Amino acid sequence: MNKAKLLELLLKKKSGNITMSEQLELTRFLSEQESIEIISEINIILNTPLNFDESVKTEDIDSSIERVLKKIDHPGIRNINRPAKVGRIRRTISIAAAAIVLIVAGYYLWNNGNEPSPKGIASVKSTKKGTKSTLTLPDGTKVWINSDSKIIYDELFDQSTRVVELSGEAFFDVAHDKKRPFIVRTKNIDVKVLGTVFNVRAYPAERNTQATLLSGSIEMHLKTQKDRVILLKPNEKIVVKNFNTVQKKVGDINLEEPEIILTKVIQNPTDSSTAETRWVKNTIVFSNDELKNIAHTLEQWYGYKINITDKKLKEKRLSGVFENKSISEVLEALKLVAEFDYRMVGDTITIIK
Amino acid sequence: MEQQEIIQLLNAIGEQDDTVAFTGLYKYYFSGLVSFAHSIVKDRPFAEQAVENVFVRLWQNRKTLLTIKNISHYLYVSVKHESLNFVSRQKSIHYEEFGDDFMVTYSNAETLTIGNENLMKISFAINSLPPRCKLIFRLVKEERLKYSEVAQLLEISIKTVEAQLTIALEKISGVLQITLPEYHIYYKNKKSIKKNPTFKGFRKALCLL
Repeated sequence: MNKAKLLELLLKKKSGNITMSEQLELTRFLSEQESIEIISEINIILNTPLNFDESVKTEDIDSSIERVLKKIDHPGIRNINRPAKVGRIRRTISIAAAAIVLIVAGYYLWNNGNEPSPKGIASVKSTKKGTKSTLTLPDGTKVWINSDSKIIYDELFDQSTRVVELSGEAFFDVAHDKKRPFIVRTKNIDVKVLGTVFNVRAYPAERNTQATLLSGSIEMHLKTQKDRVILLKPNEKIVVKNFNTVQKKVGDINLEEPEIILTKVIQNPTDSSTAETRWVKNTIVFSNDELKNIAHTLEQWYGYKINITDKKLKEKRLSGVFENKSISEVLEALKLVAEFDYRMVGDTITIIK
Repeated sequence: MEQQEIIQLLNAIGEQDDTVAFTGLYKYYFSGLVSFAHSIVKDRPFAEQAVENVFVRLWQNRKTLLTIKNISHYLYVSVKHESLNFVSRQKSIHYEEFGDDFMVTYSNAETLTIGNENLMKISFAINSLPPRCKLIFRLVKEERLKYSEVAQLLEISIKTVEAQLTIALEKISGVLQITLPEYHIYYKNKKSIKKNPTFKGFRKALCLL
């Protein structure tokens, strides 16, 4: 590609008129470059909005918008029933939809453990496949909920503990409270913390449960070995084999996998983000993952059903980062690398060789 | 904010009377518009009032919002006229006075750290531009106005817009040539850049950033 063509594509990207094939051409070109510093710089500048730092304060904007809203607030205006926080949250995560269900009293999803289950008024927040959501718990803890996940918590946290139950994946920024430990209960592990930032991935359909710690410290309690406590340090990740799937997987080649793996989290050197938590920023990261696992992530992310017919294809390993991309953009990109073809019928995608 | 997001907000405002989307749009444009209005009325409360009036009218006319092709251009033109109403009684305005009164920066907690250093240098370069040059750069880069729209808004010729952008480019490329060796090579061979249309195009691209 010559410079003029590159320029054309960059300009099209900037003005938002780039077609998918042009985007792919651009991506491919960039990936072939050894020295792409300038391109990445251009990309950063393209994507970074200018701020008016000192000159315009948030209070100025808020008081100004208040005046405007007052002026337009006559009876003819209907106030829509969207949460007022949407605008703020949108910066971090774009929420497609969030299903909030309130269930009164004593909702027990899992029947286990010595820890008390949430009592009193339990709140449930769940997300469908393809949607994500955020939540602020009564104690001020912020939770980002990935797709196809569910969180159950007590409206009035206990005096002594703060317990939430999780099925699926969530990222927690726990409000510090020495007196009341914060406990995330999943089917296979309990995570006990005082005040930290961490990610828990516990999808029932997956083989492993994972916890990744970004700051602070957390204690892990295994449901299978009640007396065993594992302490996690910042930037460590633990992967625990789910006990309910162990038996089912007999004959599987992965049977020799250890039950617990403790690893260091690999941080992206440029922005110190980690693959485990990229979903919070609407970014999907694959790093040498098998296509069948990628398909599973995409199913959750976009809410499609994905079938892969070819066995070799299923085990093909791929890496990639997708930020704010549509399902077809992701598939088109993967298709080029993994050399497959796919069909999309309704909400089912079939990947063929 | 992506162009698409803005269109989504406009849809929500126009079709669902969505005040949250309205607030989002307001917050997005507020700083830039106030800075622009300020350069005309030279008074912060008046500048804010001008922007507020424009947005009140935008809400009142929200049903026709979706027929507006370029919302940025529409808002800047509206704020300009609103601001001129404020000053018309006092004195005549010289169009040379249009400028960018506020400091801008690229620094962003979510930005990549390596990029951040360059972004800070570039913000510094932008802030040291003459106000009008800075405004033109921002209108083209940030508000995605076309050269012709900027020219019309500021009542200058398209040639002037191009010239001002070239000044902005020189400053920013001064930053880039230190941090980005690849660009440095093009920059060093300035003569060949002028002769070579593709490199010239490349410089133009940076101009538009």
